[in-house]
Amino acid sequence: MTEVAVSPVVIGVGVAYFAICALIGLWAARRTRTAEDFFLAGRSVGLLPFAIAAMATTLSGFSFIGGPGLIYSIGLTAVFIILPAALTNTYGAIVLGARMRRLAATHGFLTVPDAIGWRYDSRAAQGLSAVAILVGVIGYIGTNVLALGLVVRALFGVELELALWLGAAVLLAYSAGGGILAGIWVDVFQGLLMAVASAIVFVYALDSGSGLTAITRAIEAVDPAFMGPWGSRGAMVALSFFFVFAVGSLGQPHIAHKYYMLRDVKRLRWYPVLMTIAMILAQLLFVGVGIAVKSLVVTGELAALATPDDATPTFLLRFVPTFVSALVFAGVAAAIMSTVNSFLNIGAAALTHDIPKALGKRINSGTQLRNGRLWTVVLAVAGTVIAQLSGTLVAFLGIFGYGLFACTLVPALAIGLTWKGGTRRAALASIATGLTLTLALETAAYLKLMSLPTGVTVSGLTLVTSILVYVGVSRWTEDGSDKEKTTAE
Amino acid sequence: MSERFSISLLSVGALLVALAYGLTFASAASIAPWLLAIGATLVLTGFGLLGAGERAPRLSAFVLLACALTFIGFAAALLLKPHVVGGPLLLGLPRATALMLLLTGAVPLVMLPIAYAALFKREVHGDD
Repeated sequence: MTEVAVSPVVIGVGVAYFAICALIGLWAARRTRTAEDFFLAGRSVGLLPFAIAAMATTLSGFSFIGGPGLIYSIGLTAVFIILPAALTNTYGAIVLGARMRRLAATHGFLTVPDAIGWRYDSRAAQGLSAVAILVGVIGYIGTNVLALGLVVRALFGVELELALWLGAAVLLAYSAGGGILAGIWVDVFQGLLMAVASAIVFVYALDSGSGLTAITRAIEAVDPAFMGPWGSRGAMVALSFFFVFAVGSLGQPHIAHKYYMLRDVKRLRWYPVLMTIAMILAQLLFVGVGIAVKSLVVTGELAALATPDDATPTFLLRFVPTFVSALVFAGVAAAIMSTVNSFLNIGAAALTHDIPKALGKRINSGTQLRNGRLWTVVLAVAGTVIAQLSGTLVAFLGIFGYGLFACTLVPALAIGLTWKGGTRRAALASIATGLTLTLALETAAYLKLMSLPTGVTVSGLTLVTSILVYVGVSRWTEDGSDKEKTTAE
Repeated sequence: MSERFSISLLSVGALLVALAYGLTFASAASIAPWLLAIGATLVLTGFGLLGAGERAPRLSAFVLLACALTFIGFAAALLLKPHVVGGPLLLGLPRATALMLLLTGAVPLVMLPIAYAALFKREVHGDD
């Protein structure tokens, strides 16, 4: 990542941002007395913090760094990663929201695998889904801690190794003490910061290219497909992104888990409206900076970027006042930290609650709280150690997280909670298929043992396969041998 | 909509997505984007209808409308001629891009959340 010119303003904003996060963590730690407080914020979250926290958790550093870089590289093809939000902002509430909140109220569930275990009356399904979550979480944490380290380095001008541990220390300061209660309120602060920073930079982005029409005209002169409906990579890649990110959104455990935290199911009513407003604001930078930098490069105002990920830092350095740049870098840190906090929480829950439960062990709330804090520290330290490994290995570990969650949880959770016909064996088969296929295909791709044609992705293949396995096995085993439950009615 | 109808849409959609990927492997790719566009839309329609449930006919209608608009946006982008340098713009974007983003993005983005809020008491949380 391009270095930000370290200045007293940048350092001041950075220090203030991290101090506020740590202070919220201290406040929340004093109020975290039970496992339900630690994993579900005491089921006391109101609508506004819930919506902003859901937005902050959904968006990672990718929205601020990788996303604009991808637009710069492949044009509007990359927009198909965020375009599904037009449906999924509301689909989350329609498919999962009210059902999961009611289940939490009725059965006292703490985790997403709790719902899966109950739905199929199967400890094996709960355990297997927890293992899938854990595998995805570990890779995600490693990648995001590395991204956080790069931002801390850019903000304070310190060595990467020190930056990694500084970032991890602040994360732990609020995640281990205050759990998800701290996470929610830090998310609210971080989400507002992300939305404000993104909206301000969007205005600068359009202004730098003299408006959208001028930007389009400049880019089409050298690359007509870039601003075309499918972007530079064509319809198959764009539609494949759409399929994976639209359907996959229903299987992201760190988002689904948040539905348990709502104070009251009635508060879901305005959630999609608020989520939509928050997402629009926070995603403006993703599109604006990507196309603005492309237009600035083709008109010769900027040199071609060394790597696409330099799009945002380069734009901030050249076209945005220092104070706003500092805010955006704090916003990037915010996006990363809010996501990692959620992953630490659901990873700790898998280790503390789901896997022991699947093995038939009963653990009281006090022990779960203590173990939850302990596992949060272990996962954060493991993520920081992973972040120091080779860059390609870290990228490999991070790349399959979204797809792994999608193919292992979408059928068993999103279809399972809405369709009476889903069976226990189908849930086990689809989770196992998703987990095995993802690990096998991603490893084969990493080792260059195979390559896929343009438009076909491992996540797309595994997602459609696990859905077909779930529906097919359910049809095959619909003889009533499984004790089925549904919340469809 | 009945549960059987919704899961059938979802299943047929998933099969079409799988077929699109299969044809791409077989280098018979010209029809694959159409299959993927139809398949992805059907899968999402199935999910939306399953989620809304049989007791939410109005919400189901909005889900159907949003998914239909999504598909029309994809179809417009697949059917319209590629943008040429100096070609007409709409809202600062090539016409096909603007049309696709309006139908697939902007309209469902605004319509669905408002429909959900408006129908929440009657169809989502009406029993409580």
